[in-house]
This record gives sequence, C-alpha cells and structure tokens, in this order.
Amino acid sequence: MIGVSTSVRASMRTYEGLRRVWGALTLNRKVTAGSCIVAFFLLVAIFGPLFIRQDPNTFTSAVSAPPSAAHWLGTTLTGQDVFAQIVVGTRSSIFWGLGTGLAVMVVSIVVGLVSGYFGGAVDEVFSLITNVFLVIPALPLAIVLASYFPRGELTVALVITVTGWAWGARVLRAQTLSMRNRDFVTAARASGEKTWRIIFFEILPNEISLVAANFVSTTLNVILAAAALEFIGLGNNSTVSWGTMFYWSYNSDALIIGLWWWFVPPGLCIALLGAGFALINFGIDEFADPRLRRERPVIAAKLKKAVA
Amino acid sequence: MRHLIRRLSFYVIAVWASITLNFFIPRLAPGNPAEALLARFEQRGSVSPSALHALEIALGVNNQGPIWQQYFQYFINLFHGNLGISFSYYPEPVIDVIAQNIQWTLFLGTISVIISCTVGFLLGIVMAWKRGSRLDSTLTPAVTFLSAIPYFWLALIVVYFFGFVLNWFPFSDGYDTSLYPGLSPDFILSALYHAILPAFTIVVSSLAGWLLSMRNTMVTTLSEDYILMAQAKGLSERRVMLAYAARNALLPNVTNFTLALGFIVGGQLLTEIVFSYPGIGYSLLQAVQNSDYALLQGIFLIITLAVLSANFLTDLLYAALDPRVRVERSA
Amino acid sequence: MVSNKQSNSASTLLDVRHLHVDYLAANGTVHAVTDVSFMLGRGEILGLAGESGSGKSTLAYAITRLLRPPAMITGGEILYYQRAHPADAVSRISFSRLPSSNGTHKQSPNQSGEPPVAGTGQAVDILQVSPTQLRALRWNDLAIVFQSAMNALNPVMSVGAQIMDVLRAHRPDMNPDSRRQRALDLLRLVGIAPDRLRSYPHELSGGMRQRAIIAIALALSPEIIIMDEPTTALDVVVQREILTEIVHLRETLNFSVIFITHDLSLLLELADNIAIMYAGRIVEKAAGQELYRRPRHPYSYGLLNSFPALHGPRRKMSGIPGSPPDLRAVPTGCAFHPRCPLAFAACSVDLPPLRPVTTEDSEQVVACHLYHPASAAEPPTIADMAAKYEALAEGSKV
Repeated sequence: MIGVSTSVRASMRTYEGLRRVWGALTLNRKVTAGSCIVAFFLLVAIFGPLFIRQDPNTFTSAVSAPPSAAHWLGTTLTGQDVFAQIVVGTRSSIFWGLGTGLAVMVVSIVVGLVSGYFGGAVDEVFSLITNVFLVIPALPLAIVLASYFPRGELTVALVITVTGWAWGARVLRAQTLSMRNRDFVTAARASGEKTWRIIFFEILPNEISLVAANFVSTTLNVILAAAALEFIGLGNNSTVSWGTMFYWSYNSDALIIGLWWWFVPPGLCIALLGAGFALINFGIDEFADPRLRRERPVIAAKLKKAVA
Repeated sequence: MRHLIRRLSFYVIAVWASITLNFFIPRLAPGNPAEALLARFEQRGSVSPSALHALEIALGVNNQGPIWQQYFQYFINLFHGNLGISFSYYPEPVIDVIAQNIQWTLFLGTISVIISCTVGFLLGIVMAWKRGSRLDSTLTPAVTFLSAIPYFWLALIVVYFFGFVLNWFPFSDGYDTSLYPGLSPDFILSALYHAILPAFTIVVSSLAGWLLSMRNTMVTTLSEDYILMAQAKGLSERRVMLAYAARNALLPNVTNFTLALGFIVGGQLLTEIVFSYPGIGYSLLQAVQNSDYALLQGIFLIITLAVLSANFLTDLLYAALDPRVRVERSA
Repeated sequence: MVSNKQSNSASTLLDVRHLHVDYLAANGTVHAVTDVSFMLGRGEILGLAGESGSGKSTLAYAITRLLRPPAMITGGEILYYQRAHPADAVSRISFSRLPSSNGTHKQSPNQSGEPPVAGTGQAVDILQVSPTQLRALRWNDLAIVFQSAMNALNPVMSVGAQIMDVLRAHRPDMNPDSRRQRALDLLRLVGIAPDRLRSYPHELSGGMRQRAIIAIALALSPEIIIMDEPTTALDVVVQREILTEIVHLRETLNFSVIFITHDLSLLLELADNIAIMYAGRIVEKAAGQELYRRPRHPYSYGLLNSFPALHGPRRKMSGIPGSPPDLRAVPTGCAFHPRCPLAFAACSVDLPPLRPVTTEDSEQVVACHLYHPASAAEPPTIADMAAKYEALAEGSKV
C-alpha cells in the first residue's frame, strides 16, 4: 500500500465498510423489509407533496369528517384534509429528523473518537461530560431548553442535538479504544501522519458499520423526541408535521370527540418508520455479532444430533 | 466500597451539573423571557420580597451583583428547598406542587417498571434459550415493532380505545375524585384501577427494550464455556438456564437499566399528560403552557435527582450481584 | 507411569467405533472427525495428540455429546461399559438410572456399593441414550476438565457452590452438611485450602482454578475424565504440579483419562497409550514408550522432533513444513501426503487404513502405506525418516 495516499485508502476502507453494511442490509429478510419501509417514507418525503392537490392548511366546511372518498383520511376539527397533512408532514418530519440525526452523529463521532483515541486526561474529561449527559434525563432537559428559546423546528433540532449526542459518543469511544492499539494505527503514527487525519481517515472508516447502526437508532430517537416536544407544544405550531398534528388533535380534544383519524395516522407513520429502523438495526446487530445469527437448520437424513 | 464511592462522587458531579445548567440556561436565553413571567406575577398578586428575590436568582432576572454571588445564593436557596413560587399553581411554592404530584408519578412508575422489567427479562431469557424456535422468530420481530411505537401515541390509542370506546377503564385522573384521599381500601383500589391503563401503556412501550436486551445478553452468555461445563455436569436445564446463564446475563442489563431510566421517565411524563394523570407530567405540561419557568426548572431538578438516586440504588444492586466488583477480598 | 495392557474386553470402558463429526457451515461441510475408532480400558491414560484443527477437541466433546450446532455427529457409535464390580464403586452412593443396552429400564435405590445395573459389562451407546439418561451419565461416569478454568467456572458462584450443585443434582439423598463435607474433601484432595470453599473464581490464582476444576470433575468419582489441554494456559512450574497431581489422583481413585494436548512431550511421561490425530483421523496409536522409541507414521516422527530435547547432541530442527489441510477439502488419499517427505505414488490415491504395524503386536496401529503388510519394501527406520525430513528442510531453504 506504499504510495497510495491516506485519503484514497480511507475512502476505500469506507467503501468496503459501507458495502458490508449494504450486504447486511440485503442479507436478511427482516432487514430487507425494514429497508423497504424506510425507503418508502423517504420517497413520500421527497415526492409526496408534489402530488397533493389539497392544501393541508385550508379550512374547509367539511368539519370533523371521517375518512371518505373526498378526504381519504378524513378532516380535522377545522376541516383540514388529514391525508394532505400527513403527506406534507412526512417531508417536514423526515427531513428535520435526518438532519438532526446527522448533527447528533457528528457530535458523537467527534467526542467519541477524540476521547477514545487520546485517552488520558482528555478521555477523563470527555467521558465525564458524556456520562453526565447520559445520566441526566433527556426529555425534561430538552423541555427546559426549548421553552426558553423561540419556538420552531430549529430550536427543537438544536435542543435534541444537545441532549442526544451522549449515547453515540459512548459507543464510539469504546470502539475507538479497542482500535487504538491496532497495528494500522501504530503504522500510521510511525509514518508521521497528522493526528486528526489518523482519527478521521484511518480509524473512522474502520468503524463505519458501527456508525451506520448508530445513525439508524439515533435518527429514530430524534424523530420520537421531536414528535414528543412538538406534542407538548414546543415546536412550530403553524407548520405541519407529525408532531404538530398530535399537538392540534390533543388540544382539540380529538380523543373525546372521537376523531381517531386525526391522531392515529401520524403515530402509525412514526411506528412504522421506527419499526423499519429497528428491523434494519436488528439485521446490522446480527451481522456484527455472529453469535446472534440464527443458524439455518440443516435437514439431513439419519443425522444423529450432537447436542443433548 | 471504593467502587461505590466513585459512583457516588460521579452522581454528585451530575447533580452539580444539572443545578448549573438550571442556573445558566435562563441567562443564556435570548430576549430574557423570564422577565415577562415575573411581570405577570405582579399582576397575579403580591409576592413576598424574599420569594421574589429567590425567583430572580433562579430565573436570571434583574442581575444584581456578580454572577458567582448569585450562583452561590442559588445553591443556598436550593438547600433550603426554595425552588420559587409556581405561576400556574399560584401562590403555591414550587416544591409543594412537586411534592404533591411526585407521589403519583412514583406510584405509577414503580409499578410499571417492576412489571415491565420482570416480564421483559423472563421472556427474554426464555426466548434466548429457545433461540431459533418458532416462538423466538415470531415474537422477536413483533416485539421490535412494539419498541418503535412512541409512548404518547400508544397512550392516545389506549385512552381512545379502552377508555372512550370500550369504557372498560377510567382514562383520566389518578383516582375517583369523589373519594377522599387516604389509605382506605376504597381509595387504594380506586388508585390501582385508575393506574391500570397508564401502567399498561408504559409496560407495553418499555417491555421490548428489556426483552431484546436480555435476549441478546443471554445469547452471548450461552456461548460461554461455563455454560458448556454446567451442561456437562448434568445439571437440569432449568438450573443451567437460571443460575448459570440468566444470573450472568442479568449483569449488563442492570447497567442498561441505569441508562434506560432517563428514557423511561420521559415516556412516563408523556403518558401522564395524555391520561391527565395527577403526576409530574401534567404539571410539566401546565408549566410549559404558562411559561412557568420556576416550576419547569424545579421539575427538571427533582426528576434528575430522582433518576440519579435510582441509578445509585441500581449500582448498589449491581455490586451485590457481581462479586468481581467487590475488590475488597483479594486473592 | 502405570502400564496396563487392555487386551481383554472385560476391562474395556469405552469403545468408540467409526465416529464421524461434521460441522455444517454455509460455505461447505467441515469433516472435523472422520472414521475414528479406539478403545479405552479401565484405569488407562490415553493421550490424544495433534495440531490445532486435528479434531481432538471435537472428538472429546463428541464423546460427551457436548457439541453445539453447527456440529453434528454424522455416524458411529460410542459404547460405554458400565461399572461391573462392586469393588470399583469407590464410596459411591449410586442412583443412576441407566438402561442396559437391551432397553429395559432398571432403577435401584441408594445402597452404597451396589452396582447400578444388573448384568456386568453391559454397554450403552452414548449417542442413543435419551436426554434424561444422558444427564444421569454425565459427570457420574464422564467428566470433563476444560482448558481454560477461568472461562469454565461460573464467575458469580463460589467454587464450593459449583462443586455442591453437581452433588445436589446427582445425589439427592445427600444432605447439605454431607455435601459440604464432600466439597471440602475434594478441595483437600487437589491441594486447595478448605477456607477457599466460598471463594469466587476471580479470587483464585490460575493454578488453583485448574485444581478447582479437577476437584469438580472428581466430585462424583467418575469412570472417565476427559482432560482438554488442562495445562496449556499455565506456566511450566504450575503445569508440572498439576500433572503430578493428576497422576497421583489417578493412582488413588483409578479413573481413566483421555488427555488431549498438542504438546506431545507431556504425553510421553503421562500416558499409557498415545493416539496421534491428523486432519480428523487417527494416524497412529501406540504405547507411549513405543511411540517415543519408534514412531512409525512420518507425521508422528515430525511431531516428536518438533520440540528440542534438553539433553543430547545439537540437531537441526526440522519441524513439519506446510500447514494442516482445510478440512472442507481434505486431500485425496492420505491427508498428510502433501507434507510428507516419504510420500510415494499410492499416498495420493488410496486412503491408508489404520492397521497393526506387526502381526504379533496388534496394539500398535498406524495408517500409512509404508507399513502395508503386502508391500515388499522394508518400512523406514528412524534414520531414514530423519534423513528425509532434513532433505525436505534443506530443500525448502532457498
């Protein structure tokens, strides 16, 4: 590998790692199902609103109407079309979800890798901070933070980033600690590579599958947290997203009036998307730890069982 | 012992961190929204000067004096239990509001966590033991799906379906409001009856986490040599599964518990909101809607203290369960 | 070293016949053990030697049916002959419910010294017994000493508890006090101080842990103890202690041992008979002294000469060039032929069966075409093999 620059090697290793992740994603039936679900939502998020003719925000006179041909998912208390809201809301929730998830991952990666690589005092300090943020309950802190800042998606995103980075940092730190003493790191150090390059171009590519799995669960948590904050009323109540649909339906007493079509669809979306993510993660888990894999039973005639 | 002292000092640091966060967040907020709150206080009625001063310190208004002095004063106020006056429950002090509501949260929380953990762990053990069987392959994806359901959505559905449509269980309040609160059997029964739906929601939402976690640690443990040796010793399947495998697989889950607790608390708050359960969650919603910052911060602090205490108790439990941690007895 | 020729079947304890064990993996079936047959007599120490991957551990676990998926026993029988004489039952309060091989279920209440099954020398096929019978058989008759004591001991149970729970499972008539007493006796037997009864595994030193494992193995006075590289993880001084302990215990309690190791030098001092395994088959079996004096199979010779002697003239170390074959694709004919310096045409075509070296002494068997009874050529001497190995070593040194 002499003569091949670090960045080329890094990108090759990243590519290799991602290919393994792709292999894992298409290997398992569960995982394929999960990927399909997530892909479906992504498609809706990107292309859905283009097909919506009804404006989700207009009030109509068909107030509190159950699902029908005209309004596929019924209408809200003020006559807004729920189906239009769901489709438009998907875009908002997913894009903000992915973006925030990315932000959280960046913080996790930086803290986790730096802390794991340097060890010593740096590690002690960062680990302490990480553990403190892990142990302080996230939702109450997020609520306190969000209530002091102007309401909106950006506040929600920032607040979630501040409260949600610790878990990923902890996981990545553990992995980096074990990678630190591997030969390729020592070799890179001996050849005089700059520290930050070692961290991000040597170590990170080798952890890409862990990062991918972490990203999946982080994004799910982010979407749940955002929906929770919006449900309480800390989001931007004038835009349409899954969380704000909860907020409006709850505050319009949809429960008691019986407008189930208002709050069931957004929750179903989150649940399905979450299930998709969970299935993907399940598959990545099984792939990473072979002991969790289900051995396919081999049926052969006249085989004496080896285990009692 | 040394291990426990280390954990304790960590929790002390965490408490200090939350107090510090509480102190600085209002001071960092743009536009100083707390001032508006204090102005509204004036409209509500008279507040004693000392209470007003405490609120100012807590919410970073009228910053008189150097910041470290305010910081110091804040700590002193906290040690006296002075968390300020609640706007939403005026004129009750924050600490009283919380004290009243936290009993219900603890009641509901303890029941739910115990049921959820026990059922989750037992199922996880059984599923790991029968890995690859039909039970495992059907239940695992089903449970995975359950774990993705947001707490409050499940709560909404449960309230609507079981409470409103079927009317099997009450779906608001903690007890029959016509009864006088006290330790009478009627009251206790009513409290339990009202707790069924919210507890059910919390259990269903959190069960999956325990189950999958226990299943995974069991599967890892089952590949250890001492399990093989236990089987080689001709011990009964149940003994190997429980005393050898589960007993060891339990340990990482105890650690997991401390991390999951914060998350579960969040979920419970949301559930309480949906069920109008007279716990902390409901007061939290009031506080947010009224911008009652003193109450908001007070709730955050008390919840954090509760979670940290639970964590410390779990650490004690872990030390009792894992002899390797007790480095006292040396070889 | 006790020399014990087990030629009469009355004192045969274990008869393994044509055992096959495969690992069914997605990318091919690995034949870990192929057509292995041997007999173990009462009080005999049988050594099983071979490189990593030769199948010796798989064989050991197969005997006790402790293999985990994807391993499967795909053929053969393992016949176990139970205790025939009451005198052999050393302080044994028997309660085993093993059926005789004709299938009738015989059960006896606890009477010390009484043989558990009527009819001496009845054999059971371990591979056929039901799970309940297997459980009764385990540890009562067949015990295993694992390689890494640290991994084989439950980290959250005290050592004493791990001895006593096996007593509780198999000797329901013992009360807690007698169990405790027995545990203390066992600890004393292996040289562990009695105050260690309540110690946890991580509180013991490596040597003590290994002794504890041996103590647990002896708890029910088993007939056969399988020792899977019991001293590999220990330093040589402790190794010596443990081995001496094993020999001493065996002389006292008269159990049989199957001793698995890759270190042939240990076996030469310890074992009555040694079986050399290569690529899942037994390639040579002989009495320890015989093997040392006159190894027949070229592989045995190579193994013996792979470790330096402390005394004697300085020799060039040859080792065995090459590496063991991939068990998914074992070479045709004799599996060793690609590495063998004495290989000839027939070796890559025909699989040599395990047959006696000389017609007089049927105890020493070897699987090598060089010793074909019908061939006219003289079998190679030690000097021949030494020369061929050296030539190979020279040739490979470019």
